[in-house]
Amino acid sequence: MSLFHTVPLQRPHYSERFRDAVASARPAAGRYCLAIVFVGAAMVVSVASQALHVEHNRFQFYAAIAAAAWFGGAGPGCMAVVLAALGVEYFFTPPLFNLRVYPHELPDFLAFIACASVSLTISTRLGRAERALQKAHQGLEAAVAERTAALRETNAALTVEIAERERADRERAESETALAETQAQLARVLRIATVAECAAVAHEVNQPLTAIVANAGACLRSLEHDPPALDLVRDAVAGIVSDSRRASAVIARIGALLRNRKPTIAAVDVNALIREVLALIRSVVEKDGVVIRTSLCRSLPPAAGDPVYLQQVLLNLVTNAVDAMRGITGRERVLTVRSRSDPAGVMVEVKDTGVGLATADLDRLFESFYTTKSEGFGMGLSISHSIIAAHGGRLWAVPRRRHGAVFRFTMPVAAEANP
Amino acid sequence: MDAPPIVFVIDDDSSIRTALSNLLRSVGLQAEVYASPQDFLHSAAPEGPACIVLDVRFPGRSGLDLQQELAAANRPLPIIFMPGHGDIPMTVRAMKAGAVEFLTKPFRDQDLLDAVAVALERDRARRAGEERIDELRSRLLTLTPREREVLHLVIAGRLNKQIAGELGVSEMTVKIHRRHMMRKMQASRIVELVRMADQLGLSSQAAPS
Repeated sequence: MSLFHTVPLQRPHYSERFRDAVASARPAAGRYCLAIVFVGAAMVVSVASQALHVEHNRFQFYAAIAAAAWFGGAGPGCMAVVLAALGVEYFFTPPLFNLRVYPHELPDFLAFIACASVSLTISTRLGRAERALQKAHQGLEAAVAERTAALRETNAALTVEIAERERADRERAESETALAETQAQLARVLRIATVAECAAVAHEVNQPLTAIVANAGACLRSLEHDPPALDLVRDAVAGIVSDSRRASAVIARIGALLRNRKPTIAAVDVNALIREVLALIRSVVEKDGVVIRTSLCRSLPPAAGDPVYLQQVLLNLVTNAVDAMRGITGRERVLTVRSRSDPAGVMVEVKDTGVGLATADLDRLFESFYTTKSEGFGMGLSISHSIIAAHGGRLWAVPRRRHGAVFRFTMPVAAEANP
Repeated sequence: MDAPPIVFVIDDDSSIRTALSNLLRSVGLQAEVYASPQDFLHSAAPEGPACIVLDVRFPGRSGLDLQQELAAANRPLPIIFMPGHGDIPMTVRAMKAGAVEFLTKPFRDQDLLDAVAVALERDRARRAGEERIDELRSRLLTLTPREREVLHLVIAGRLNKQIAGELGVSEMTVKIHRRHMMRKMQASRIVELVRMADQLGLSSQAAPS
C-alpha cells in the first residue's frame, strides 16, 4: 500500500512532525516540489502496476493529490491535480504518449479530473481545518500556560498575604498581651505606690516616735538618780520637743496628702516655708552629703496660696533635687533654693548639681507616671504642677548649662488690701 | 579591772542617735554614736565589752553588710538591729548571722535596755572565753616538743607504758615528762587536761610522730 495512505492516519505524530517540517520549509517552493514528488510517486506506482498487469486505476493519483493538498495546501494541490491530469492523459490514456484525447475517453478523463478536484478540495479543507485546530490548540495551550502562570503568581501572592495576615494576627495577639501586661503592671505599681507611701509614712513617723520614747525613758531614769541628772533630763526634753514637732510636721503633710481638703488661700511667707521644708529634709540631705545654699529675698511680698500645698510642692522639688544628686561623684552636691520678687509675683527657684534633664524629658516632665527614677512613680512633678497651676502660678524646668537642673515656680502676690 | 562596757549606736537619723545615747547614759552606760557603718569601721576596737545598736537601712552599705564585715574582721560584736519598718527576709538573715535582737521602731525603751544588757553579757562571756583560750594557748607554748607529744598521747587515753613504747623511752622518763606537762598546763587531773585540750581545739587523735 501507499506510504501516504497509512502514515498520516496511523502514526499521527510522525506525520505531524513531517508536516510541520514541510510547512516550515519556506518558501512555498518546497511545498510545490513536494507536490511534484507525490505525483511522480503516483506515476511510478501506476507504471509498476501496469507492468505487473494489474488493472489500471487512478487511486494513487487521488492519494498523491490529497497528500499534496494536505501537506502543501491549495496551491500545491491544484498543481498536483494539473500534473496528475497531464500525466494520466499523457501516459495512461490512449492514445498513449501524447496529449490528445479520444472523444470516448473524454468522460472518463473528466471524471478523473472531477474526482481529483474533489480529493483536492476535501484534503485542502481537512488540512486547513487540522492546521487551524492545531493552531487553536497551540493558542489554547499558550493561553492555558499563561493562565497557569498568572494563577501561580496569584497563588504566590495569596500565600504571601496569608503569611502577612498570620503575622499581623500574631502581632496583634502579642500587643494585646503586652497591653494586658502593662495594665496589670500599672495596677501593681499603683498598689505598690500606696503600700510604699504607707511604709514611707510609717517610717517618717516612727523615727521621731522612737526618739521621743527613748528620750522620755532617759528622762524618767535620770530623775530617779540621786541627785537627778538634770543636764541629761534637759537634753532629753529638748529632743522630745523637737521630735514631736518633726512628727507633727510629717502628720500635717500626710494629712494634706491623704485628705482631699479644699485649699485655703492665705498670705504665705514663702521664705519661712522654704526654711521649714529644708529643716524637714535635713536628715535626708545630711545623709547624702548635700550642701544646702539659700538665697532668700528679704523684701519678699507674701504669696497667695495654701501653705500646706505649697510646702508639698517645695518638698517635692527639693527631694527630687537631692535624688538627682545621689549618684553624683567628682563634683560638689549643692542644693540651692532662692526666692525673689518677680513681675508675676513671687518666684522660687530650686537648683541642683545632679544628673540634669535630658531635652527629651523636658516635654514630658510634668506628665503623670513619667519618671526617670528607678524607684519613682512619676506623680510628684505632675501633682506639683497642678497645685501651682491651681494657685494661678506656673512651674517649669530648665536644664543648667554644665550640670544639674533648675525648677522654678511663680505664685501670685497676696492682695494686701484684702479686707 | 575590766574596761567599762560601751554601746555603739549607728543610725543615720541624728535625733535617734541623740535620744538613744541619752537613754543609755541615763542607765550609766557609755554610748558612742556614728552616722554610718563606714564611720564605725574606722573607729578603734573597744577595750571592754561592747555591742552595737544598728539601723538596718543605710545608703551605700546596709547594716547587714556591717555585720558580715565585722565577722570577717574577727570583731564579732553582738548587734541589735533596728529596722525602720519590718523587713522579714532581712530579719531572718540578721538573726541567722547572730543578731541578738530585732527591735522594730518605735520600740519600748526598756526593750532596748534589756537587749543591750543581753548583748553586753554575751560579749563579756565571749571576751572571757577568748581570754581563757589565750591563757591556755600561752601555757601550751611553754611545753617542750617531747612534753607536747606526751600531752597528745595522754589525752588520747594511752597508759604510761604504751606512751613509753610509742616514744621509745623508758616509763620513768615518760612519768617525768608527764609531771612537767601537767604542771605547766596547770592541770591537776586528766579530766581537766582533756577539757583544756578541747577548748584549744587540740586533736585527741594520735600524736605527731
